[in-house]
Order: sequence, then structure tokens, then C-alpha cells
Amino acid sequence: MTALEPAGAATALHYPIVDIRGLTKHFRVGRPRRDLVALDGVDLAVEAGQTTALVGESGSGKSTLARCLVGLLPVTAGEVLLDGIDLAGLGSVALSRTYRDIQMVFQDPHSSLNPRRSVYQAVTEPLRLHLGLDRAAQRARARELMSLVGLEDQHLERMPHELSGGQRQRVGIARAIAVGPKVVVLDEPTSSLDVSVRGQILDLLLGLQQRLGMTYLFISHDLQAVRRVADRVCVMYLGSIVEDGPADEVLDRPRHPYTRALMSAAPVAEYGVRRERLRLAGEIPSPVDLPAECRLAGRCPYVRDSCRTAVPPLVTVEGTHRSACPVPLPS
Amino acid sequence: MTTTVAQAPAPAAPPARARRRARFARFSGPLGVRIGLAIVAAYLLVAVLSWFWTPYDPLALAVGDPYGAPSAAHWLGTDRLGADVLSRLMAATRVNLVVMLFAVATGLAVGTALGTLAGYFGGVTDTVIMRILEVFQAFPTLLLAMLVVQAVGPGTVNLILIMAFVGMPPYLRLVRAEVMSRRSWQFAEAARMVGARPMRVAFGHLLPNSIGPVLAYIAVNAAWVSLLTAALGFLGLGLPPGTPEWGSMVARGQDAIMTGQWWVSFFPGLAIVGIAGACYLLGDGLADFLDPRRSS
Repeated sequence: MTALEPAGAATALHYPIVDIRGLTKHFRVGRPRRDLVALDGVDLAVEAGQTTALVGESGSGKSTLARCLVGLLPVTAGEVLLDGIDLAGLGSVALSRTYRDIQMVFQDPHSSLNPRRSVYQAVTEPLRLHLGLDRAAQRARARELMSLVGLEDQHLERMPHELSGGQRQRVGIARAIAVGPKVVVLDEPTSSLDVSVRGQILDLLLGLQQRLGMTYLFISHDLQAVRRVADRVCVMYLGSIVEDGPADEVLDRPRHPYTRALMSAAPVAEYGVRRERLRLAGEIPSPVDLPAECRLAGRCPYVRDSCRTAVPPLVTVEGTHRSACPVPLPS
Repeated sequence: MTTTVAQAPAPAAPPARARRRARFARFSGPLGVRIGLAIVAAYLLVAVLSWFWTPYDPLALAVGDPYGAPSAAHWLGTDRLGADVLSRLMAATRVNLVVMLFAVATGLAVGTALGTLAGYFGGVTDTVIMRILEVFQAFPTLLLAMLVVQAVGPGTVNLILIMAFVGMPPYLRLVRAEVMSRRSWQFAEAARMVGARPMRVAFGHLLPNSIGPVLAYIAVNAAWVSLLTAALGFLGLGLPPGTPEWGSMVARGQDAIMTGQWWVSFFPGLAIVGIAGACYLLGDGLADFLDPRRSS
């Protein structure tokens, strides 16, 4: 462990460095105005020093959660505690200060870098604005960052369009870790990359976590990537968490029908393996005017009458593994 | 890289400088742009020259006979009051170019700033700015300019401000649309996270990426300001009576055209056409130069 690591005792305790409580986000859409429920009372604890993965299909609210978490979107209700401080209530100056502790790697490395700024400008801007380093210190730190993310000094002078997708994402990672954050939100960091590069970026992220002791919130719909990096997995569906637990348990013994469907939809890289597909009927429903029933009730093959009377809460299955389905499923 | 891949000899100039040079070559390339540049350069030369030297005093009357035809003494003839047309034309070039340059610069600065604010912050800021803009845009431009000129009185500074004011809306709208379309791009959010305050995101990150179409519009605006200034001058508005100005010079000669003294109106008219044409030629080149889709 390096000197950059926060107090060792705290790490050992696995305290939740990010604690999201009852996070709700509504968007006002259409005419007449109606509420689109993007996040519906999400509770999520991210353990310090671990990687928590957030999975779910498009439109399940993963990216909205990430943006609310880092204050890029105002929340409708709920708390986002980073080390006990509620980010949701902060003004822009105080919020800006918290970006020394929480940073984000964006999904699309093509649009997350300013096309008119060189790599050097991109990675030193946070050093200047957050830390107020002088020029010499910026230059030294920029070189250090380049070697950390596996680029060379010469890349500092490049413009974004002169880099490959993988190199750009490395620059995005360098920019995020420049100020030494405790928490890094990775918003689908590999999904827009070439398949051959994804593994390298994942290795890089894992290596950086070990060296710098950072906490990751890893958002993805790539289950292979999740299996590789995650300590815990949270499954989202229509703005709610439906299952949450240690990665191997959730991935290998999923309890919620939605998680099972998601797992069984993932391709298997072995020839001739026959899989049981759990197929959900229909499409993900509209998140506008949701009825007070299980979000999956209309699509679930195991649906019962009790599923239609209330939204089932997350209940503990065993240990820290929780699922929002009260129906005992065939294993 | 340590691998020895066969490569062309290392480029002599750093990439940034080479890129800039290549762009300039492309910009100054097409014939139309070269002509436009040459004309504008000639106008600037005449304007600067008129500061130090004109054949006669441009404000003096009766330096020759009334309606004297072009001759060795008066190359472009004299007007109704016996003033030297060439001297007045040179002085007018200076006046018109000053109005044009400062009006364009002011309109560009104000329109760009307000457009960036409206586009980035949206909401109430956007609504207030756009509604006020629409009120003024509801008037026909020439009419609005005439009204304001009458209200504030003649004078170079007033004229510049009015031209900037009526020419500003397109800048504002262009910048607003460009900034708005890039507001939710990830590099704007990333800029927030690296510690940039909203103003810095708007003006430091979004504006430089949104300025291309605006710069291309400058030439159109410059041509338009020249024409409008001349139109007001023709109507006797904008500058104090007697100030050498292309439009008022055309007006001074309009009675004489029918009776054969064409030179009084013709040369200032040619000057107006020349600067407007040159601006349009340059504008076309600028659009090519600044639009990455139109270059290879």
C-alpha cells in the first residue's frame, strides 16, 4: 500500500465512503408536464477501497445516478453523502471543492476531451484550478500522470484528435486521478472502446486502484467487465435497485428474476454450451406515471398477485446480499 | 515509440505551427479570397493615407469649379459645391472603415457574450435575453436604425453603437445555438469536474468550440454594416452634415446624374460596391477555412 492511501484502520473497517439515501430524480417531460421517474428512492452504499459495479440495461438510471452523485444533475429528493457531507445540498463553490475527492471518467472519450485543448492542458487544468500548483509542479505532475496511465511524455503535446480511442480514455483517466481523488465514478469507461482495448483499460484501472487506494463506482452493462473488476454488484431496473450483493454471489447465484434474465442474456465465450435463457416478455415500460407495483410485474414469468399490490422492498437474502423479489425462484 | 517503423523524415515544424501554416495556405488559396484580401488591403491603405495626405482638404469647398469633370487637377472631378471628389472619397474611406471595424467588433463582442450566457445558462437568463432581442428584431432594421439615430443624434460614436446594436442579433443567435448544442457534451461536464466555475466552462471551453460559424459571419456583417452606414448617410442621417461619407457623397451627386455629371455619385457608389463585394468574397473563404467538413 502506498503513502497516498487514507488511514489504514478506516480501510480495514470497510466504511461506506459514499452513502446514497433515498435518492430520487424526476424529470419534467411533455405537455402537459408529467414526471419521468429516473431514480426512485435509491439506497446505495459504496465501501471505501472497493469497486462497486452498477449494472442494468439502457434507461435503467445508471448514468443519471452517476450524474446526481457528482452533482452534475440536481436531485429531486434524498441525500448523497461523501464522507458524511451531503453533496446534494452544496452550492457550486463548495461542490467544486468536493471534486478534489470525487472524480469521474466519462463514457465517450471522443466528446469528453475539449477538441481545442492539448493533453497537457487537459490534465493540468485540474491541478491549476483545484490545487493551485505552479508551472513546474504542473509539468512534473503531468509527466507522472502520463506514466501512471501508460502514456509517454510526448503525448502531452498532442491534440485529442491525434490520439486513438484507448489513448483518449487514458487521458480521461489521467485527468480524473490528477488531483488524487478518493472516489472515482467510472461511467461505462470501456463501452465506446474497441474490444481489444477494453481489457487494457480495465487492467489499468485495477492497477491504479491498487497503487492509489481509490474507491470505484463502476457503471457498465458489460457483465464480463463487471465480473473482472467488481467487489460488489448492484443491479438497477427502472430507477430502482432490484438486487445488491457481493459480486460472485450476484453474478453466480442471482435471486431476482431481472438479474437472472440479464445474466442469461450475456453471451458465453464457449462453443456448444447450451444456456437456459430466462426471457422477459415485452419491453422496459415507460418510466412516466409508474403504478405502485413491482416494476417487473408486467414482464416477469414468476409474477403473483401480491406483486401487483405494492413495490416490493429490498430484503436481505443472506449476509449483505439483498434482493427485491419475495417470490422463491426455482434454482 | 521505440520501434523503428519506416517513417517520413521528421517534420521540421512542430505540429501546431505546421497546422496553422497549412490552414493559412488554404485560406489565402482560392482566387476569390485573394481578390477580397487585395481589395480590403487597398481600402485600408487609402484610409491610412488619407490621415496624412489628400490632394485637397476634403472639407474645403470651392477648391475647383462646381461640377468639374475629372481632370489632371481633380482626378475624380468636383461636386456641386466645388469640393474635390477624390479627397472626399479618401476621407470617406477612413470614416466608413472606422465605423465598420468598430461596429463589427462591438457587435461581435456583445452578441457573443450574451449568446454564450443565454446558451449556457438557459432558463430565465435565456428567456429574458431572447425576449428583449425579439422585441428589437420585430422592427425592420433600417427603420430601427433610423429611429435610434434620430433619437440619439449624429456622431461617429453614436453611429458605431447603433450599427453594433442592430447588427448584434445574428451573432447572439449563432453563438447561443452553438453553445446550447454543446452544453451537454461531456467535455463541458468534465470541465465542471476539474474545477472550472460555470463562467469558465461557458467562456473558456464552450465558446472557443462554438465560434467558427460566428467568425465566418463577420464578413457578412461587415458588408452589411457598410451598406447600412451608406444608406443612412444617403438619407442624411448618422454623421454631422458635410462629413465625408460614401452614402452622403452619393446623395450629393444624385441630382447631377440625369444632367451628365456622373462622377459625383459614381465613385463613392463604386467604393460601396467594392467593400461589400470584397467582404462577401472573404466570407466565403472564411467559411471554407473554418468548417472542417468543407476542408479535406
